[in-house]
Amino acid sequence: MKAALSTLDLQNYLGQKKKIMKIFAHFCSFTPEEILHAAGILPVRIFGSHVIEKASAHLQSYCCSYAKRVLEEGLTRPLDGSVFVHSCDTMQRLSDIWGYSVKEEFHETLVLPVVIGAGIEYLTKELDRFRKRVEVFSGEISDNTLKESISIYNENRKLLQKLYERRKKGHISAVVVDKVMKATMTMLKQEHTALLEEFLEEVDPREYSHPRLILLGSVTVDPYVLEIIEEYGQISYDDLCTGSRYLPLVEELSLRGIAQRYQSMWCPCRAVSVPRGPHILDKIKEYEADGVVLLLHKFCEPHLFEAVSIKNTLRENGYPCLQLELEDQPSPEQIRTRVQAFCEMLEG
Amino acid sequence: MKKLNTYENLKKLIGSHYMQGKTAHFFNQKVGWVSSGAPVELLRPFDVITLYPENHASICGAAKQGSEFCEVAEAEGFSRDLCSYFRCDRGSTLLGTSPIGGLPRPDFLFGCNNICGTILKWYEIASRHYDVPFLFVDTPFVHTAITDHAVEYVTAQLQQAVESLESLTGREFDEQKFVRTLELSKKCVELWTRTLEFGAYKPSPLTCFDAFTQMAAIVSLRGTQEAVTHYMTLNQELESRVQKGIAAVENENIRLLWDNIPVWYAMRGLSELFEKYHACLVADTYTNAWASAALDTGNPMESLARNYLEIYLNISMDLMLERIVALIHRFDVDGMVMHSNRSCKPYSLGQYDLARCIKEETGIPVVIIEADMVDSRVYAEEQMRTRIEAFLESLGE
Repeated sequence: MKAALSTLDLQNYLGQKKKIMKIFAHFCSFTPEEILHAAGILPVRIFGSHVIEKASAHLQSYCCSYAKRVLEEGLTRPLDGSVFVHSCDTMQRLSDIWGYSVKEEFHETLVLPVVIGAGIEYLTKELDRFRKRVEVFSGEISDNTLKESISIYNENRKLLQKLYERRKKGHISAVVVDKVMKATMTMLKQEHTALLEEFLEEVDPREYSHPRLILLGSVTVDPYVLEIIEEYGQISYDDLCTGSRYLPLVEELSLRGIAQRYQSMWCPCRAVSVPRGPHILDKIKEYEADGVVLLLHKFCEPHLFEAVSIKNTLRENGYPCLQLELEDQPSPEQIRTRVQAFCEMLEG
Repeated sequence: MKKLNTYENLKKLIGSHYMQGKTAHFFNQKVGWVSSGAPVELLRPFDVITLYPENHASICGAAKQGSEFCEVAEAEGFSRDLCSYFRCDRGSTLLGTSPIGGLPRPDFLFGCNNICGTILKWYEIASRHYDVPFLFVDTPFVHTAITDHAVEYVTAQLQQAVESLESLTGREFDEQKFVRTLELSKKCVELWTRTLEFGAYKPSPLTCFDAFTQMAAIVSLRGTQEAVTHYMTLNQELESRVQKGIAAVENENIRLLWDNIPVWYAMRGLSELFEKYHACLVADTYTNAWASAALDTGNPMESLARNYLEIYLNISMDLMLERIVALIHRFDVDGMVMHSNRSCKPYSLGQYDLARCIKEETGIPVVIIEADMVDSRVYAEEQMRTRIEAFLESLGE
């Protein structure tokens, strides 16, 4: 059954779902998917592809590639609706541009606070506003349905946490983990949970002799980068939106609970009272990592800002760090050369 | 372009503003670094010295030293794709110098994300560097209309900021002084609005290049008597220009609207280029961003919250479009020049769609030129000239 989750054709899956339910696009780990789920809508996180044609008429060359990719996807294959959240300046503007140019039945932006702690009251009210907006589209969402949906998400995330625990004991390919994560961000949660349970029973962490790495960044859009990294190194842990950042649970089964969950999720778009470096140092020790790979998207401001202090902290503590900056177009050869040299250096 | 006499006045005013900064610590005054969209009115009652790193970066840019400072920040590891105001400020901080000798060390930072998320990152970095507190006001983006919960949230933060300032300065918040500041701020904004309104005259007695220079006081000295006095003098001069029929651009033939932050290092070249074609940039979206406040001194905190939520860069493209179309009609312009500014995503992303909407709604042509506000290394002067000339020639026909 392992094959079922890791080889699933997600495009095909979505094609089937499209016939029976409404599908909304979203773009950020801070999207309250639980509310959409409770409304009977399938929230799907969009990653797009590197083929960018139509989006160039809307976005300047100096705009980050993730924004271009997802807009291209919206322009080419629109879904029934889209939900943006206020993450960075680029995604905020993209929401408007999207509203002008993508034909769909529903479009909404959740204006998250930047300081989640101090803004928790505001955020809870904003989530309530969002819930009411969705209800206009879907019909009433009862408190009970919302609780059930949150539980379904929690159950799935507990299993994902288990996957990460297993990963600690032995090597599970980051390419496979990435597939599991992309699948959970695409599929109806309960269906993913069923497959994930089977997957966990069968998955077999192996010994792997390559240098142990921690991967930092935002989203892994193309798996080729992971494939290349794992030819030379072993990704033991990640600090990614398409990875560990998705794992925290909702404690209180309510809108406030959803808001509180966001408080536990680190993101450079939010106010960062404590630099990320020390947390990464803890993870390095916990996972006995040899080095860190920073995976950045060109023009991604929040991460580019934060990268400098992270690199400084790592350097001061004697941990090697490789920064890979992804451009619009894949550049596998360049990445291979750098990863290979980095891992050889780690092996000394 | 005829230089305004009031320019000398402004130079003195801004010079003494920075001089106050330099001597602040000697006189035991606290220095706060403030972002351009932050509610500075809250700080004035505490008699702190407020300085604006953005204004400082624009001075570096205008002195053509921006790229040099940017390179220093890049050498430290900051990407060349990050905001050039930030890079310039960072470079100047590390070198301890600038055309005005660098900004004095802050005792605290006061910033607001109503102009961009970059402010948050920039000030976090400065706060760590100087090991000083960062008072931050989070202003949720306005999509269709300001929500009640956003007003509550911002108002609560303003109150919190007052408490922080009390403990920082060891002074109590003087409500009367605060209301007096709001009155001065309101007066200043009214006068500044009047300044910009002069652009509606035909011919216009000022261009947006004048406004870009003159805005220094509304940004940095809002809520002070000096700024009010300055704009009264400026408006008198503009009034007398109108009466004497003095035009900023001789034989004004083309009237234009500018969008985005100026290209600080190319101001002279650009203004001469437009002038050659008898084109006057009579208005701009940038300096108008400080011309919209409707402060209510009866309900100061909430009114302040609402005002700072509605800042031009904190509103959706729909709302921006409304304001742009209003400017196009009020100033009766023939075309629009959009500066696609690599450094400023919230200002620049969306310009392609806005340009299309503007053409559809008003029928005026729009040209988009790509540059950067401070980093001249990305400036392709010849290309820019050709593009603008082609645009002006087509308008002149």
